[in-house]
Amino acid sequence: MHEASPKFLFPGLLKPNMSDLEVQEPKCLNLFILLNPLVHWVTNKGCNLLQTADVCHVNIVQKLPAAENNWMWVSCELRLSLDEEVTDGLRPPTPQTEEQPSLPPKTQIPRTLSTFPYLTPRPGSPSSCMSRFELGTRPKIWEQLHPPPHLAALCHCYRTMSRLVKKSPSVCTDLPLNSSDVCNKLRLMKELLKSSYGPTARLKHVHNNIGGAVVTTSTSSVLLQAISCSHPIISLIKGSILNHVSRFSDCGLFASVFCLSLIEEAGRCGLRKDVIIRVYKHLLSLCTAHLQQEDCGCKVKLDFCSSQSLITLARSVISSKPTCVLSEPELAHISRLAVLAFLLTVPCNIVDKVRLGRTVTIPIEGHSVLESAVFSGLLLDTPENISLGSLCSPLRMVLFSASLAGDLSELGDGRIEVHQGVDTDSQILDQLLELGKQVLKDEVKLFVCQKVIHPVLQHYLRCNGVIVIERLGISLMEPLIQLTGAQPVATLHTTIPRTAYGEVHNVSVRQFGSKTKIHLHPAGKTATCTMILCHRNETMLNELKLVCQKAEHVLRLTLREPCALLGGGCTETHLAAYIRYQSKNDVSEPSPVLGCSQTEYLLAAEAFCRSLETLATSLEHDDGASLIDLTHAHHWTLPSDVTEEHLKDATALCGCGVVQSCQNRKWSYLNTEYAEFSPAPLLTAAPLQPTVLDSFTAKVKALEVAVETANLVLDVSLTM
Amino acid sequence: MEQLQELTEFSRVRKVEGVREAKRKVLMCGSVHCPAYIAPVFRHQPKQSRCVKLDQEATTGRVGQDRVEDYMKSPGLAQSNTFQRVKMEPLEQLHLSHVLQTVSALESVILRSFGPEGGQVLFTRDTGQVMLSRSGKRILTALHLDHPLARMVVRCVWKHSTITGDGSKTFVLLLASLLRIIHATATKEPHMFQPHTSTKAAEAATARHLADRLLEFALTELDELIVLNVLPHGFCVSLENFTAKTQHNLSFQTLLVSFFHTRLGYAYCDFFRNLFCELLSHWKVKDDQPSFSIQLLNSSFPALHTQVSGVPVSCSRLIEGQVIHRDFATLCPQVRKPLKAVVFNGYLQPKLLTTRDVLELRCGDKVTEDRGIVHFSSWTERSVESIIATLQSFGVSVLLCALKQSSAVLAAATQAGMCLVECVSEEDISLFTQLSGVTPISDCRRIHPEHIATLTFCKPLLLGAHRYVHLDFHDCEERLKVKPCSLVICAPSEGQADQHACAFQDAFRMLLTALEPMHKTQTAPKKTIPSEKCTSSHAENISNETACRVRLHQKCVIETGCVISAGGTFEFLLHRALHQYGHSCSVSVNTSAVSQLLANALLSVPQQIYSHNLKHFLQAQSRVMALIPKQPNTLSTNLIHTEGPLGNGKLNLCSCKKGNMTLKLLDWGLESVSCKYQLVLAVLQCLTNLLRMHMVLRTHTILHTKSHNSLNAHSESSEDEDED
Repeated sequence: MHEASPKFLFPGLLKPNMSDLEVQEPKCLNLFILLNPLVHWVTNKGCNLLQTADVCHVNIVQKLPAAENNWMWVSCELRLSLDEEVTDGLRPPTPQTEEQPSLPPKTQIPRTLSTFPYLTPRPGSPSSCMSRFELGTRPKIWEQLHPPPHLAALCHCYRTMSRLVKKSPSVCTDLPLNSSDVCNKLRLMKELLKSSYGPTARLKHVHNNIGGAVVTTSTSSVLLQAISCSHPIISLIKGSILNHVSRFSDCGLFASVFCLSLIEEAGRCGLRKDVIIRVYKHLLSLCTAHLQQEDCGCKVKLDFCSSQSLITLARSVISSKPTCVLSEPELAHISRLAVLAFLLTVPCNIVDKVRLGRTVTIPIEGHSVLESAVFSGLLLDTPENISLGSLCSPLRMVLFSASLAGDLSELGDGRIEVHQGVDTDSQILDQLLELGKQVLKDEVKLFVCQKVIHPVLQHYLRCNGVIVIERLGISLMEPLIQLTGAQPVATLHTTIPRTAYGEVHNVSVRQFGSKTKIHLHPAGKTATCTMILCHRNETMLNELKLVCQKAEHVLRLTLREPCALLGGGCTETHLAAYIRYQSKNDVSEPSPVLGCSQTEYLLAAEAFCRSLETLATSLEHDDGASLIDLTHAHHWTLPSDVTEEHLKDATALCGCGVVQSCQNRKWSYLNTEYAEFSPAPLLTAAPLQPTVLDSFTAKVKALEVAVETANLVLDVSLTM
Repeated sequence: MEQLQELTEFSRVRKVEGVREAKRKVLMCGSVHCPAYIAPVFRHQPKQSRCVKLDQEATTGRVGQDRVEDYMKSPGLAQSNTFQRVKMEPLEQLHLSHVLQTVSALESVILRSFGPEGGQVLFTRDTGQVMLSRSGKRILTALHLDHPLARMVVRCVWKHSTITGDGSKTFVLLLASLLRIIHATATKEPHMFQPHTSTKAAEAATARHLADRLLEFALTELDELIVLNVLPHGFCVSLENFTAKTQHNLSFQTLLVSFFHTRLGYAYCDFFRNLFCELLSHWKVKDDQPSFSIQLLNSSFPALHTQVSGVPVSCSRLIEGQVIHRDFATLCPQVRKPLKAVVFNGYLQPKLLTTRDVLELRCGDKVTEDRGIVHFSSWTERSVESIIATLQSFGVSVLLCALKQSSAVLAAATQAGMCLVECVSEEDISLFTQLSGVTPISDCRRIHPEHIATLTFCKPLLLGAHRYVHLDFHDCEERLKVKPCSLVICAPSEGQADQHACAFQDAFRMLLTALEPMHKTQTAPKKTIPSEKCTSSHAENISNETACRVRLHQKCVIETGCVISAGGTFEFLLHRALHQYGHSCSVSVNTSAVSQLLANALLSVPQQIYSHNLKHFLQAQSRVMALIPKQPNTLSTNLIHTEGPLGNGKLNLCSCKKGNMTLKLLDWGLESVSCKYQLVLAVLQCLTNLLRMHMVLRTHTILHTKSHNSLNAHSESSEDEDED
């Protein structure tokens, strides 16, 4: 019986048990799906909904027969990550889409999900706590069902629902890489991503057909998320790259362009797929082994004694995103700030294990970039007209994680019936004021609550000279705890232990345009800092925020592996030259192991090298030519209006700025044949400082991810 | 008691109204002095609610929460409910050609991923996620199938490969091939057995008859044929010495490599083989059966592995200890030795009001009026504190909870310097309890020393996007004689990581099947002994089996872990054996026809393996056939020779090579004979079931459940037949 019921509920699904969908997600939400007679639709819709909101776990918990006979409640447990983007997306549907209030006939699909009640977060509750959302097909139905008050929180991303289509039979593509349609799609995607690569990239405007927000970007993470893909192979590649970017923040475009050109070159050289896969894998191991070597020609050791190389690294990350629209001094300022924020989060006194602190980023729109700043400590939102009286340092503070609004949320789900004459509200308020008295007695000067504080309690505390900050939010709890050393309090009825109090050194008010912030100065050494980012408009600011987070992540990665790779395409050309040399010189050794002939091996190696060189050439977008010098194998660009003679001019520099031009240097155009050579190491006594550096960890991983994904795609023989 | 009466009355009334409302809790705020007033309520409450519940069950009957099926089946509801209006469709006769068509369609799907040249199949889910697989089981179960027969075949494949972990594609291939031959035979000579009114019916009857004979033949003769003709060409794999980094375990490793090759392609098979062996050696229970540790790994694999996406595959690794797939709910733990941990099943803060409870606040004496609701909640807070204090007295510093705890509990734990992990999954908890030997606490008021586990460390672990809890046990090596470790599976995309995890899980199943004994039984007594079925249904009646084995002990040669070179060797050898058996004079005409049929069908498997090149097929066939004239006498001496205590695999291998065998082990890898044998039996059983189908009844409801109902009907009937 129990086994049979899920089958009944999901006749339209691929699998009766949905455990395949399961991925661990930290945050839980409960979702009630109101099932109508067309059960499988709703379920499909539910799944679609889940996907967009990044819900990863669907588990039918229980089914309850509802008041109307042909309706049924199914309670599902969903885990969904509510990050800022998702909550921003939770908007009520626009009025003109509200049509079809009645149940549509079974062949008709509602165009939009506006017929579903939309979900809005429960007021006053942070996104992390357990909430319940409701979903039904007809608003009226659930109104009739009288959902309990805590279920009255509704929400929905109507965008999701507009994408609902009836389940269509599977479309099979046999040997997808042989079909010209798929190849064209892959080529289109490659061109799209190629043109967004590098500091001179062309920007992309993305907007959907139902009037969503317009996104301007050249960042892989935003771009790939925004585009919808029509073929499973593309979504496979997209998924891999997005996962890489979420782990390492950098080199997403690098990986995707490399992966797509590897696939394209594999099709072009016409070898058997398994041969190509083996050779690619072998060459990848050659590359990674070469890059891990101490004396690798394209690797630079980072020197933590001076911030110069760190700033160069941060600057390369920031300058590669032209959507930020930064002038030269602005770029330098932001790079310095990024390094400063990174250095502030490295703790000074390490006990046994290094735990990096946090940078809280606050974006402020409408100001010059040069007004951006980094502060040690935390800046919190405050109510208006805050007055700081004379406060003696250090200040004692208390931090509450439970709501102080006078609700008793922990009692359970049951109903409370109150007889006439019982005033529970005042009882609870009295209790809250008791708490206030104790806090005053303990000389607390700063009173912070994660959730809402009852206005009466707020007033009482303010009148007694306490600074009150409410609605802190879950995301700031951890940095605040680290900063002050306070322990969050959640009990209202017991006395607060002394150890739970924290300390701040001082408090000051800072004004940023229209925003007033209260600055908590740390009492001791801390690893928490706040970064104020200013920019002129929202698009640029969003991109700047993203880029600064990327830069911070890239800088953190250097702590594990303190080195960087030469940027500007020089690493790619260097690797291509190295692989070409290696493969031509010992072709006899690997080919029998890999089970292919020498010619096959050389052809596949050529495809690999050409893909690497494609990466270097795609940095240039203004019709310039890309060249490689035949001694150090660095990458050079030749603008379209200059002749080759110009390169011999002593002032010209290679892509990364390490090699200087000289008279007897020889060049070759990229993607033309040149005699293989082993790239010579730089021997000059005082080499020039590289001007462009790439993250070592991110790039090596991106290289591996690109080859692994390409191999996977080449191995696909059937898509459905 | 009067109150109770009232309550039950109440629930009855509410039930009639159709509103679900159950037990009520009455809080007499005014009448009793605080704080003792809560106590009586709690003493009485459970009793009351239980009574109410019983009463409700009696009266409401099937409107229980999980009884949707009942609910639908009840005739009264069906009448009033539009959703249950059932209408009958015209009957649909099933013909042999339909069955063949359906199975051929399935065959064409899996052919692309079959054999060494086969590739991956990429699915897009309804959710937009992609799923990647080379496993026939996953490919077939992911299909959205309407035809009931197709679903039935998929069910059979699913059942088979869930047990053996392997062979799902060969299953479909062999089934299609058998059906094709039966179809050809039946259309050629439809009146072979008895006259029929229509040609179609005659065909169906012939086919059914053939299938029955096939199954009967396989159940009685196949194992002996395999033991006599196939096993001598195979090798033995034992788990005793796989850990030794010598050549002893070469065949074991080759078996794994070829398995991972079929699942994950060339690129990663060596890497995952090494990882697998390492995992196995860590979990090997000293002085115990090796299959025991595989069983343990197989059952607790979901808790043992962690998938990480966005990282290259080469970063997959083993880490010591256990990973709890949750993050700390409180801030990081302070390092304090020794670490003591407990597991909780329930809420630490008592849930006073469940969904169906009602808390009634009444006006009472003036003295206590202002303390009603506040006291109610303060009581719960104090109970949390007392629990935390008890835990502190035991020195506990790590709490693992199955449920989400309230913020009061979190704050109390933080202040006590404990770290708390909430929403820990069932699998994680069961593995933890298994490894630590403690029992989870369900009643917080009763905590005993046997609930407390000792850990060597407990720290956060960042894997991909998630932070998990990483811990290790203090005395696991002495107690369980294993070194627990977890597996981290990395891949660029989720689909790929999932695929790798599935391959691991199936590898355990495959090994378990491979290590199951194949036994040779005497033919003569079998015909008379009713327990002959024991060979075919290993799993079901072990006692029966052992009885059988004891009786025939002297003639039995029990082989465990027998493997044979892959690439169609098994099929070629069995084909040859069946062919010879069919031609031998001792068997009846019918049996000979049936064995010929099976022999021909088996050849289709190597034909598909070498489908890209006919030359290779002929080469492979002649290579295998070259072995046959050498009578198994010399070979069986090899076998006997290698049945020595240690080093079977390699010795076998050496002797085989010395014996001038031309089987190249590493060319095609190895596969398990026992898996293959079970596969043939499963296919024949599925075939019999398929051909016994006579008719499809499509019952339509508005719910579109037509295909489901018919599927259920079919599968039920097939299960009934299984039991016969």
